Amino acid sequence: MKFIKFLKFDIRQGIFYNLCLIISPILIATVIFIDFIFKANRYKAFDIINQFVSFGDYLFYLYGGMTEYIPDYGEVFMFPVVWSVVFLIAPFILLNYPIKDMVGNGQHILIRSTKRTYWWLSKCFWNMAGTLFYHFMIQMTGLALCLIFQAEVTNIIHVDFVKAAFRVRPEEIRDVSVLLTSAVLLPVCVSVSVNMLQMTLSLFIKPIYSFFSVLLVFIISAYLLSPVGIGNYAMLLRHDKVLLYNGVSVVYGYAISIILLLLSMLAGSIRFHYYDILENI
Amino acid sequence: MTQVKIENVTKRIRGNTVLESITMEMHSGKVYGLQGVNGSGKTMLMRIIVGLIRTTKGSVSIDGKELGKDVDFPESIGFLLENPAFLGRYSGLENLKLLAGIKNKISAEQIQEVLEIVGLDAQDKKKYRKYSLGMKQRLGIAAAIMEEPDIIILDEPTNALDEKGVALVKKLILQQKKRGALIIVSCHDIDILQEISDEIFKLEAGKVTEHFFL
Repeated sequence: MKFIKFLKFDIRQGIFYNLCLIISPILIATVIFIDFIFKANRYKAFDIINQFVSFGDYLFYLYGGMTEYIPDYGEVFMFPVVWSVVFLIAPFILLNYPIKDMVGNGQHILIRSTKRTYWWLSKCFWNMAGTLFYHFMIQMTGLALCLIFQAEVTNIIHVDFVKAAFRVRPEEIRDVSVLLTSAVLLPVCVSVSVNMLQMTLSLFIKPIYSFFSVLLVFIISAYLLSPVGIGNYAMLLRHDKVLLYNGVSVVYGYAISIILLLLSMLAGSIRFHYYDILENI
Repeated sequence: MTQVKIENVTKRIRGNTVLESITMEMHSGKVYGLQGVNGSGKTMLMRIIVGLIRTTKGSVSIDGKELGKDVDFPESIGFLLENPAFLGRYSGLENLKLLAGIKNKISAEQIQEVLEIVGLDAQDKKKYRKYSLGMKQRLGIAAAIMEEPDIIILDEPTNALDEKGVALVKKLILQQKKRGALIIVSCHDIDILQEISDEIFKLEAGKVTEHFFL
């Protein structure tokens, strides 16, 4: 019963009263959508695509990332900007709440809880809910803008648009026509796991360094196409259902994400049991 | 009858020894004063008793239950540590209601009563973030005593209070003592400490250098 009370408190204070978590995804989604629709109009004007874009294209634009980077003479590594904005803003927004809560009013709540585990579990569920809320807001803002701009509200992907927007060589990707729910949910699942990892790391190192660690994970993942780099599973362009060769398995992606999530929760719980709650962290 | 037993407690933080071989025994119905200059380890010791900080060596037991092993926190404790922190967007009453809602031990009327006792207007809609330092301190004291806990920890409770406020704090501490609570107070003002305490522990560089009864 107490745990439910804490969770309600965290959801209210850490999500519904967190203006940044409400406004940021709307702003990000709007800016990305404008960029997306401008590109689509330009491609249409130049006859690169012959149909108007869809909500599926928008989701692909958000979570696409980049195809494999193969270092070569004159081949400069270009970090996928849209993808990194989507995936790095969430951990940044979710960075401070647990620590602020721990050194502030949360101390009263923590002690009244009588168990440290309740506090930690409540923060874990808050973190998951916060990340899901963030992606939900980004996707729903995109959906609303699709309706306003009269884009198709379907999960159809126009491969010509994808090839042009991501500068993909035709021989690199399959002719995917529909964005499967399982594919689009995997980046969100990866985001949940990585944000949990960040929260756990912030019990070992300063929160800002835990954010930099997450940043590093994404940079390495973007640079190296490898099943070990969890960020690869957050890029639709690197899924085996999209990429013709070397794509990472969507099934493995789910398995790795869930394992990382559970391990992070467990490691955090053990660490928090011995954690010193000082005034200045 | 509540008993706090601190046995051979040492605390090291990043290589620095902040508390060394502290041993104390405290019982309900008494006020224990902690005296010492800044950095002597008073607040650290209080945080250890509250359960926020784990010991490097030694143990703290509350009624025979060891903190960190048998329980995470004392079952019945109220505390005011350094700067009281509450939710800025809520009024004092709303903040206390939120905290009291966890244990559901006291009613809204009782919370209002406590606010009046510490000299705050229970009907005041002013947000906590607009409170003066003195008002924040009073609210912190109210939060510490409202559920009539067995153990009350007050770190510098007279900070930011005027003469009237100081007199009120002294009166409240003695009232809680009469009720049977075990109270641990730290204060820079040795006169106040001597006035309200039954026993005083003097800390210097993390060690108890003097222990005297009053």
